[in-house]
Amino acid sequence: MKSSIVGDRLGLWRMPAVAVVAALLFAATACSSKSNNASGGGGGGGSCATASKKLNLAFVYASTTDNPFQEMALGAKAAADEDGNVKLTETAPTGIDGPKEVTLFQSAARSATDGVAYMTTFPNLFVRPLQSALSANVPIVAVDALAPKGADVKTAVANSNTALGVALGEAFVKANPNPNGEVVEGLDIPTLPLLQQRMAGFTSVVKQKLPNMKISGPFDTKAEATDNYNAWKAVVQAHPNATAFVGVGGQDGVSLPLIEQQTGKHFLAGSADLPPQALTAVKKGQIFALSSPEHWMKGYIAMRMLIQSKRNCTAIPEGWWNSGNLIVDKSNIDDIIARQQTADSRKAWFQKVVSEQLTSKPIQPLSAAN
Amino acid sequence: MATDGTAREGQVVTAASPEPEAPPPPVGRRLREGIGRVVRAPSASVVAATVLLVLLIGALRPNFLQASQMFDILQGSTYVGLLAGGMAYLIAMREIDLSVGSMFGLCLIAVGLLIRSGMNPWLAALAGIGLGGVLGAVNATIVAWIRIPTIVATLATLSVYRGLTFGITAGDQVVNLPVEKSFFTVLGGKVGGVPMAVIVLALVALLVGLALHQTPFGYRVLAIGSNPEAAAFSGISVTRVRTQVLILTGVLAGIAGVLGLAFFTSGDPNIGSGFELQAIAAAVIGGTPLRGGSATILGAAFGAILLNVVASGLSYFSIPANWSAFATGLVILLAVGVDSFVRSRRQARKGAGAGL
Repeated sequence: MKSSIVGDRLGLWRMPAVAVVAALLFAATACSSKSNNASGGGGGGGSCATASKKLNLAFVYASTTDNPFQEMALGAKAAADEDGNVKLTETAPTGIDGPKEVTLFQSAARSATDGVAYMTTFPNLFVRPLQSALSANVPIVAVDALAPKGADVKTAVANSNTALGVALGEAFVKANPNPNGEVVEGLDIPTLPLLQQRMAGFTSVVKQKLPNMKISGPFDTKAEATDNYNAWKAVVQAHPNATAFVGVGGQDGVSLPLIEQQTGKHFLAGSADLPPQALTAVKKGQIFALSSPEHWMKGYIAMRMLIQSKRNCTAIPEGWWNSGNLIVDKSNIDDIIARQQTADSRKAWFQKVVSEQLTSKPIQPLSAAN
Repeated sequence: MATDGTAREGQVVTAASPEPEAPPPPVGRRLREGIGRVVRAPSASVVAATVLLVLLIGALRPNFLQASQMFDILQGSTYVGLLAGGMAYLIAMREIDLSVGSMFGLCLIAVGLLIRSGMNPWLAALAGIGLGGVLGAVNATIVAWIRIPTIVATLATLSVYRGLTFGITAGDQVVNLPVEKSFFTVLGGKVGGVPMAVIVLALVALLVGLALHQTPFGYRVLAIGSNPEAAAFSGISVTRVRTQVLILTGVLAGIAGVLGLAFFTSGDPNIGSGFELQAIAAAVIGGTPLRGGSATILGAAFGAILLNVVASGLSYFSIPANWSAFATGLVILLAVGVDSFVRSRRQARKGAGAGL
C-alpha cells in the first residue's frame, strides 16, 4: 500500500503502462510465432547443412493496402508453406512509405538471416540497406523492380512491363476501337518506372496499328482508391469525345467501370492488375481486357529460389527471371475469377505455370529487364 | 529567465510568487524531488515506454538488441524525429504545419539536383537547409498576409511544395549522384558505429530543446500557446514568433532532407509523403499536448523512435503484416490515453489540494 502511494506520488505507476499493454501485444505475437515454429518439417531432403534446417526468411513489400503487393505476398507465403519448414516474416508499411519500408527491410534482414525477398516502389532508397544485408551474408532477391545500381543484388524476379503494355495494346486493337477516335491514358503513379514502361508498350502498339487515333495523356490518375476515382472522373469529363480510357495501374480497372456505370457513358476501358472489382467488370463487358503482371508468381518464384538455394546448398540463379504476364478477357475470365478466390485456388491454378517456368528457367541478364 | 528552477520540462511559469527564504531541504528530500521531477516530465512516459518496449522485445527476440539494429531504428527515426521537433514548437503555439513532409521531400530533391549539376555537396546541403527556411518563411508570409490559420495555409503548401518536387524532377528519381564524395560517406556514414544522422538528431534536439526551455524566444512560444490573448496583451508579437517558429520548422525539414539524401544516396519525388501525420503523432505521443502551452523536444524525438521500435519489432514476430497497423495504432492510442489520464489525475489532485 505504502509503496503504491510512493509510486503514485512519483508518477512511477504510469511509466510502464504503455509497455505493459505492448507486452501483451508482443506476448501474443510470440505465441503466434511459437505456433509457427511448431509446424512444418518439410525441407528439400538434401544432405547439406541447411537441407532440413528450419529457415528464417522474410518477404518485405511496399504496402499492406494495395492488391498487387498483397498478391506477391500471397505467392511468397505459398512457397514457404509448400516447404513446410520455413518461418516466414511478411512485413510492409501500412501505406506506401519508402523510408519506413527501408527500416522494415533492415529489421527483416537481421531477423531473417536465411534470406529476404523484397519489392518496393522506391528501389533507389535501398542502396545502403542492401549493401549492409549482403555484407552480413543475407541472400537477397529483388522482386518486381530491379535493385538499384551499386547494391550488387544479382537476382531479380519480375515480369516484363513493356511486354505487358504491348499485350494490353494488342487486346485494345482486338476490341475494335474507332480508328479515328481518341484514347486517353492514365498513370496512377506517374513517377514509377514500371508503369511508365507499361504505358510506353501500350502507346507503341496504338501508334503502330491505329495511326489515326488521337492519344491524350498520360494523366496523373492517383493510386489511392478515392483519389483514383476522382481523377478519372475529371479526366472523363474533360474528354467528352474520347472513345477509350486506358490505365495501367490496379485501381484504374476499378474506377473506370464505376464511372461508366454511374454516368451512363459508353467507352472502351482497359487496365492492368487483377483487383476483384476489375475482374467483375471484365465479366460484365465493361473492360475489354486486364493485363496481369501475375504478381503471385513473382512472390512465389523469389521465395522458392531462396528456399531451394538453402535446401540444396546451391547458389541462387543470377539474372532477371521473367515471371510472365497474362491477358484476362472474356475468353478466360471465369477461369481467372475462380483462381483468385482463395490462396489455395491460386496455388492450384499456378501449379502448371510454375512447373513450366521451373523447367524452362526464363532467366536473362539483369540488363535485359524491361 | 522567465522559468524558475522548479518548473517542469516544457511548462511556462508566468509569475513568480515571493516567498520567504527557507533553509535548503535535506539531501534525501532533494534527491526524491529530483527523481520526481524527472519522472513527471512530459517526456518521461515515452522515454520509459520506448526503453521498456525495446527490452521486452529483446527478451523475446534477443537479436533485436543488437547494436546495429538499435542504430538502424534510430537512423530511421531521424527524419520524422527532426520534423516532430519543429511540430512540437508549433503545437506548443496551438498551430500545426501540414507541409513538413513536402518541405522534407523538396529540400532532399533540391539538394540532389544541385549535387548532380556539379555543385559542391556541402554547399548544396547548406542551400537545402536554407531552402527549408525559405519554405517556412513562405508559409509564415501566407499565414500573415492572407490571414488564414497555419493549418489551412500549410494544407495548400503541402500540395504546392510536393508539386514543385514533381515539377523540377519531371517525375523522375534523382540518381547517379557522386556517392564517393565526403558528403555521402561522412553525413550518410557512421562515427564509431553510430550513424551520423543520429548524432545530428541528438545535437539538434538538444539545441532546439534548450532554445525552447532556456531562452526568451522559447518562453514567448510557450506563453503564446498558454494564452495567446494574454501573450499579445503583454507585448509579445504573435505574428513575429509564429514566423520564427515556421522558419525553424522549415530549417529542421531542410536538415532532415539533407540527412535523408546523404543516407539514401538518391531522391524520389514521393519521399516524405505522409511524414506530416507521423510528425504530429510523434510530437503528441512524446508528451506535447494539443492544447498548447507546453512541449518537449526530447519527447517528440522519442515519439518518432517509439513508432519505429513498434514497426521494427513486429518484423521479429511471425504475425501478418496486415496487423502491423493495428499494433501501431494501439500503441499510439495507449500512449496518448495514458498521458491524458495522467494529466486529468494531476489536475484533479491540484483541484483537491486547492480545496476545490
